[in-house]
This record gives sequence, structure tokens and C-alpha cells, in this order.
Amino acid sequence: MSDTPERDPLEDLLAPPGPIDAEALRQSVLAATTRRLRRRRWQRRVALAAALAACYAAGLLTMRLLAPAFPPQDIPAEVVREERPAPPPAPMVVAADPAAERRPDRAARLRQAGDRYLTEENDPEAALHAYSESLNAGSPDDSKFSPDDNWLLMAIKNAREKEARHANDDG
Amino acid sequence: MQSSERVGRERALRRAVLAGDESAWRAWYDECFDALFAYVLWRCSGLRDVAEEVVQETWLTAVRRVRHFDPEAGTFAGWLRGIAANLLRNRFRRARRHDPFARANGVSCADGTAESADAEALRRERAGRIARALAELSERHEAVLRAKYLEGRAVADIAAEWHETPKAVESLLTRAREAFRAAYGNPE
Repeated sequence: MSDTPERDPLEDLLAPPGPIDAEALRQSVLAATTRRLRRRRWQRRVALAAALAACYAAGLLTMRLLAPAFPPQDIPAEVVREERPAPPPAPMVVAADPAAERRPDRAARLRQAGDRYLTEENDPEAALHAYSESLNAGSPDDSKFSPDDNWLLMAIKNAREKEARHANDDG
Repeated sequence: MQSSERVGRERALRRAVLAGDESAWRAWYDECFDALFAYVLWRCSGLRDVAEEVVQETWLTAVRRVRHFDPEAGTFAGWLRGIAANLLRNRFRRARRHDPFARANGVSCADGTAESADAEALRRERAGRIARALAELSERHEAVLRAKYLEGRAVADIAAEWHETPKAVESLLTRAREAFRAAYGNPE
């Protein structure tokens, strides 16, 4: 079987046209379509940016709507307390060393520590503790009033004396 | 190229083009331009000005509607041909009121003589008749005439691609020729 057994009268009518140089058309159509593609890409980016901006605006609006209607009251300024370093344990000299208990100058050293807490550190609480320990560690003579005593030590000795007197009265 | 391979490749190209990848578009364009231009030129029976307009319009439509191209349904080249065929059909509908093939009558001849103007007018008139006749054919008749005359393929080759017997294709070709002849008028 042959593809074209006899001369087809339509051959001439349906024959493809000869080759035509279409390079100019190819370039111009390519440029036009690429421009459109670029524009669409730009539009997509703009649309994305607009969507993000809309989300952001919606978030801001939500925050605004959810915020309390009245203005917040003045918040008092926070009082900042100066943190003092914790005082070294008064009986730093009273460390775990048992031999220290027997030292004769322990009372004197505790008293010196109390003086330092009171005058230098301005810490009456630590000074009270040190003075008390000093009186406990010292001899009974140390518990007597002395012109060298400061006000805190005098107050402690006074209180102890009253306590001892009351104890004797009760006994 | 295998069908699945072709589908995968065209799907990837489509995705890239939709994302705005110009190099993907260029690759697709370069691949299909010549075949599309040859097809439109054949459908316009060699009228270059009409063919150029249709080709340009086809590509602009394609880049605008590439989202609707489905590689599973057919090739990109086939999709482009479909757009061009629709544009040509619409053009011929309008042509009933105003014939676009006749607009060069007596005005655009290189030497400006009355004889060449008449010859050009006759050529355009004949081309217009061929184009209109092709536009009136069914898709299948148009396809078999295209395969035979534009692509110059043998009947056996067409039959193999269409999964038909050569006899069936030969018969289809005969019917397509008759349909064309009827639409065109007797060419003899």
C-alpha cells in the first residue's frame, strides 16, 4: 500500500508553506511573554507583601481592641533595696575549730568584731551577736560596766545584769 | 520521550513558569515556537501577517493561562495548537463580517502594479478559503490532514502513533480530504 497512490488534487492546497524566517517574530514574542511573566512574578511578590502587611495590621488591631479601655494606673516606682553582703558569721573566729574555744583572747577578738560591725559595717544586729558571744566567752569581769563600752555593749550588759537580778530574785 | 517522563518534565516546567522562572519559560518557548509557527502558517495557508498575529496572540494567551495547562491531558505543544486553533476559528467567525484575508487587496504589492495587486488579492482570497475550510473541519480530520500534509508523515507512522491500523488511517484520511473539499469548494 502506498501513502499517496495517485496525485492528490489537494496536495497543493494543503502543502505546507515554504520555510519563513521568523527570528524577529520569535524574539519580539519572547520579549513580550517574558515581560508578562516578570510582571506576574512582581504582582505575586506585591500580593505576598500586602498579605503579610494585612496580617501585621490585623494583629495590631487585635491588640488594640483587646487592650483595657482605661489607662493603666501609675505604677509606683519600685523600691530597690540595696542588698548588703551577708555578714560573715560573727563567730568567724568561732569556727569549727574546738581549740579556738579555749583561746583566752577569744572574748577580746569577738568584742573587736562587734566594734567593727557596729562602727564600720553599720550592722547592729551582727554587732549584737558578736558582743553577746564575747560576753559569754569572757570572764565575769568582762561583764562589768567599763568606760570603754559603747552604747550597744552597755545596753547588753545592762540587760544581762537585770536578767541575772531577776533570776536571783525568783530563785 | 516516554509519556510519564514527558508529563513529569512538563509539570516541572509549568511549576517553574508559575513561580516566574524565565529560563524555564524560555526553554519551553524555544522548544515549541517553530512547530507552532509552522502549524499556524499552514492553517493560514501561508499568509504571514495573519499567522504572526495569531502566533503572538497564542503565546500571550499561553503565558496568561499556563496555570490551566494539564500535562496529563496532553503535550504543551498540543495545548498551544488548541489555543491557536480556537483563535483561528474565532477569527474566521468575525471574518464573515469583515474578511481579514482580503485587507491587502490592491494595496500592499512590492512593485505597485495593478497586475501584481490583483495576483496578491487572488492569493489572499485563495488562502482565506483554505484557512476557512480547515477551520470548519472536525478535530480528527484536521489532525490527520496535519499529520499527513504539514508534518509529512507516512500513514503507517500515523497509525502506529494513534494505535490504529493503516487501513483505518487511510480511510480517515479519505474522509478528511472529502470534508475539506466540501468546505473549500471544488479545487479542480
